[in-house]
Amino acid sequence: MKLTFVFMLVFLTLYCLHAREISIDIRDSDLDLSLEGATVTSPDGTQVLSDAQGMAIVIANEERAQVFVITYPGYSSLRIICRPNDTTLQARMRLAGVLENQELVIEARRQGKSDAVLGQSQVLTRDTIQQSAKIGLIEDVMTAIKMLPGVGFAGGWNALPSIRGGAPGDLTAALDGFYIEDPYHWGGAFSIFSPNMTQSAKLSHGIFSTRHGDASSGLLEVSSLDLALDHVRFTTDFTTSAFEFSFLVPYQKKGGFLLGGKVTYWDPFVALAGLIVPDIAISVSTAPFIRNAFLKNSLQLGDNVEWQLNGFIASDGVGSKAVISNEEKTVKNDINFDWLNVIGFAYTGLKLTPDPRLLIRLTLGLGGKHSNLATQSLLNGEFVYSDRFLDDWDMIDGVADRLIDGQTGYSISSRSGDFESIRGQLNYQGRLDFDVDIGSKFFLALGATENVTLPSSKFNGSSWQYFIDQFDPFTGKPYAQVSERVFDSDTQGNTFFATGAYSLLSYGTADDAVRFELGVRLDHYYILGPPDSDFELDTKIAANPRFSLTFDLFDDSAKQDRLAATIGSGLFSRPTSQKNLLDKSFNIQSGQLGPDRTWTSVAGIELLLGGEYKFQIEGYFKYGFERFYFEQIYSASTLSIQPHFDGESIIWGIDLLAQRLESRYLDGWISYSFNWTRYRDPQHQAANGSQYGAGSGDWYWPDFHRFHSANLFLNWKPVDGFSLITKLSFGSGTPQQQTGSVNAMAARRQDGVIEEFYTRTQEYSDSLRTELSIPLDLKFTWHWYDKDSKVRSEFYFGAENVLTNLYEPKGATAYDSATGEEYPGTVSFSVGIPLFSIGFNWSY
Amino acid sequence: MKAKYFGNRSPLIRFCLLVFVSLLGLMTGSCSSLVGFGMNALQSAVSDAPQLTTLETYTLTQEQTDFKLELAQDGQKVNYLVLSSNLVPGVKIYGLWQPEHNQAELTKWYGFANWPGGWSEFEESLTGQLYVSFGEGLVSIKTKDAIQKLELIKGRIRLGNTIFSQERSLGLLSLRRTRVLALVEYMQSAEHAPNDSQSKEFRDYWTTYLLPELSQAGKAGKTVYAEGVNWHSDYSAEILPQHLAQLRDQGGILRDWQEAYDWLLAEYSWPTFLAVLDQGLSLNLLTKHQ
Repeated sequence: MKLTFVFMLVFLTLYCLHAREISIDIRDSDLDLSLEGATVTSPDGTQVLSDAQGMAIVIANEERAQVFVITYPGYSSLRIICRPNDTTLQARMRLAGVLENQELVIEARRQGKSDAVLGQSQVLTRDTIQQSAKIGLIEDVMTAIKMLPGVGFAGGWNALPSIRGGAPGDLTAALDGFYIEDPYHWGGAFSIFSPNMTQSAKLSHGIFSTRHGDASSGLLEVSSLDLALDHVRFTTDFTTSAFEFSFLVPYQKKGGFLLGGKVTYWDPFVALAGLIVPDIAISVSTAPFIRNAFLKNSLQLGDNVEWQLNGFIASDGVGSKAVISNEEKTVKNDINFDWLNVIGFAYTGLKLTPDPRLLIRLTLGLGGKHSNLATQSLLNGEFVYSDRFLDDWDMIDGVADRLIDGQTGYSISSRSGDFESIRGQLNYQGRLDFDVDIGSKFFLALGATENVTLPSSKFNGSSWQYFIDQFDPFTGKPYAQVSERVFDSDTQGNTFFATGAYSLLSYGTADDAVRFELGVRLDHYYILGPPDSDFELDTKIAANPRFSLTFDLFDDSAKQDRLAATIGSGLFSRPTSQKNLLDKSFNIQSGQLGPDRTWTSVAGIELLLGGEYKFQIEGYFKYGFERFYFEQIYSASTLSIQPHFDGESIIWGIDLLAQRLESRYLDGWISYSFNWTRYRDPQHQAANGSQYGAGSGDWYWPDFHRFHSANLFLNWKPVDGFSLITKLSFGSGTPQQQTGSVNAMAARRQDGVIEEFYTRTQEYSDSLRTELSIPLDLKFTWHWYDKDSKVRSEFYFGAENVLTNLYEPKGATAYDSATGEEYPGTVSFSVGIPLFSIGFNWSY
Repeated sequence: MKAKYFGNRSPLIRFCLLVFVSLLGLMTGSCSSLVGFGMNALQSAVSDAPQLTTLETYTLTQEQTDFKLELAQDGQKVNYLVLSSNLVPGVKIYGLWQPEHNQAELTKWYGFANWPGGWSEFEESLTGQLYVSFGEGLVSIKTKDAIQKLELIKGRIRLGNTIFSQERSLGLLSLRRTRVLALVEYMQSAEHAPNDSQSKEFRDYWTTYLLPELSQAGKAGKTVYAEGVNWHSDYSAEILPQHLAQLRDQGGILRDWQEAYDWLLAEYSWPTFLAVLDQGLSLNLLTKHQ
């Protein structure tokens, strides 16, 4: 016994000599909460409990690794290794989830800026954008946006759709919260938002938050790639016409850096083609190009401060030279066209969380834009009076001899027409936002925004015009005078100050049965004319209260079935886009002008089945008032404009969406939008007509209006790694003008020579429409990973407008003003054959 | 193959097609490799894990079993041993290498599995010791202290264009690990299946057995729709224990099978791999790079 005791004492002493204390910090992995009372079992069976701070002190061997087992009720047991050099250990316990089957569900109800909200917005995720927008000569996020419910059919090469009856240019766009005016390439053919730089795109066209001003028909918020990552990401694309890349490097979990860009590569192809076919080198003076680069930088400056610096710069352009001749080569018209557009902006922001319940965001930014459009034409030729012309005008010289003033024709020598427009704009933006969690699921937000715009414009040139203001003394018919008009304007433009302030109270999160948002926004605009203009204009303050309520009628979280309804109403405002044209001569009084206003009401219902199928129906009514418009007043050979602020619009519609969310074999959606939009410009005189042709203050269909727009987007994945994507769109016709017959007209030059030209009457029609459009796009995608590789490879082959050779919608006929020849007019972009595109993509 | 696709066309078209296909192959192959190489290096540079520089690489073989053994060092001159084998695809075993004792204190189990829609990578903590000796043309490896896999400690998932990381991915991977281990346990206990987990027969057998709905016409009986497939629940109940039958009916087995087959295979073969190491093996040295 004594011997045993001595032996044990020696053993324990030796053991203690090789032992030391280890502290284990035990927490819940999701909530980061300390777990008190967790049991830690040592290899020798000794058990200790964690204290109130979740700390447990255990004795560990100094010389070899040991395994400790930690258990806690409701959590999976955890085994952690204590190695010889360890002094503290972190134990993160997870709730027991035996064989749970809900993983990798992408379309779960997630909160945040990427979530669609019934009655407010539609959202496209990065995956959906990659599938639906990466097709065509230029890959563009708007390609996907145009397929959403509430978006009117726009057709190809047009990134300016009408959103719920709004004018195409009324869509307000923002990149990571920075507002961008006119974010388009090639005059609106494509947007500046590339799918590769985009994490998500949110289109708000319902009762969206009072955080956002200067938007009435819709707000497009594009979020660039997320920097909240702990890994490098790289994407590179070679497509039909462009090379793109994006490159993201995290700063050891303290932020990240994203650099990306795009450059089209038609330049070398055009140059090469020009060597083989000289006509190409002659006719393409600048190959069409788009170039852009963007930078996003985020840095965590402390536990509660995050700093951001973002920038974007882009340019696009095209130049052409055309020589148009008649069949006999007796007439030649040389036409040059050049377009250059540069957009750039940079902004910085601070995100502060001084308290877990308070978020403060400060953003300051600067944007700029410059566009240059130049055209030149030079006409030379010998013209012979046609029989058609002589049938009508032989008597203009008082002699019926099939000659005019004894001549069979006339000549035009070096008649040049030039036009150059240079537009620039500088824009300063700042905003301050406070978000406060005031408890019990209530959130309060307050903020203010300031946006200062300094535009400038310069245009000059000359053109030859035919003004019908003479009467033939022999026939009594009106005829025209040919005259050259020279114009030259260089203005700094009006400086525009837009100030906004908002408050907002919301209740509930996406998972709550009842959610509501109540807020008010005040917007004020002040216009300051150029120096020496003695022009300034204060405008009416627009108060925009908004309210929306969403509630679940049924919710079975286990099955992910949910039926929700929403109602909402609110006022929205947007300053007129023609504000730069205002000056002192219009004699507008302070307080007389305000922004265009819209009162919008929305009701909707959404059914989610099994977390897999979504059905949504939304109805809306919008009344537009205090809309700015210019009355066009014609007098003899002059045109003048007069501003008015009493334009009205009545818009209503229904949007339907049936969607199968991200699925293994087949997903996609069908959207349908019915829209009824009537505008009214009360001050228009009957004879003059509105800008769209309607006269005497009548209600009229705006020229972009379509009753029906529908889209089918189908992503079929028959085998792993292959997708067949089908995009079928449908758009009913837009208003078409009533045209008269094409008539020969005579025009007298200053030297007395009579020229021949053709004209026809065109007037607004309330019933005529262009034919319906049905473009069908197909895309085949293969994607794969090499063994043990994290690099995703993808190849796609796309065909746009594959039905173009079978059917092409027609509008009113067009005619040649020189010959009077009529030919079918088209209503959408088409090159006569399907447009094929390919793309290679590698992403890490 | 060449005659079938190019045989009946004019020489010019054949030439153009060949150039196009060659370029396609070249671009996809080289770009993928280049991007992978560069990004892996960059990821290592920005990762908070120690960056290892490989000092020596041994490729070893014995009958059908291939091993790759790397001796590496981190920035603090700490020596590491990295072991991989075709027995456990996608897996690398890391240990602290003690050259003076010819042994490695094992630290972690790195696993990787990809499929056309994404990938999973994960690390599990590991205990145990390996004895490694280098002879003339031979390398011997044997377990010194029992090897034991413990917990998932790190991981990432890419699905489509989305990458999940940190706690979000750890939670998802933890669930997948639980499911994979449950299915593997069942597969290992099955006596009716082929033994050679490396063979095509093995994969085909289990695919047909566990997921017959993918290749066969529907049978009569009660079905449950999930993941785009009508699962025959009677069949599930007939072949699988209750918890796995439920998992099959929910499409969970399909997802794991398609998205993480290498992981599943690695877990299936892990006991065999351990048994081989316990027994000890002498491997023929094929190549050695320094």
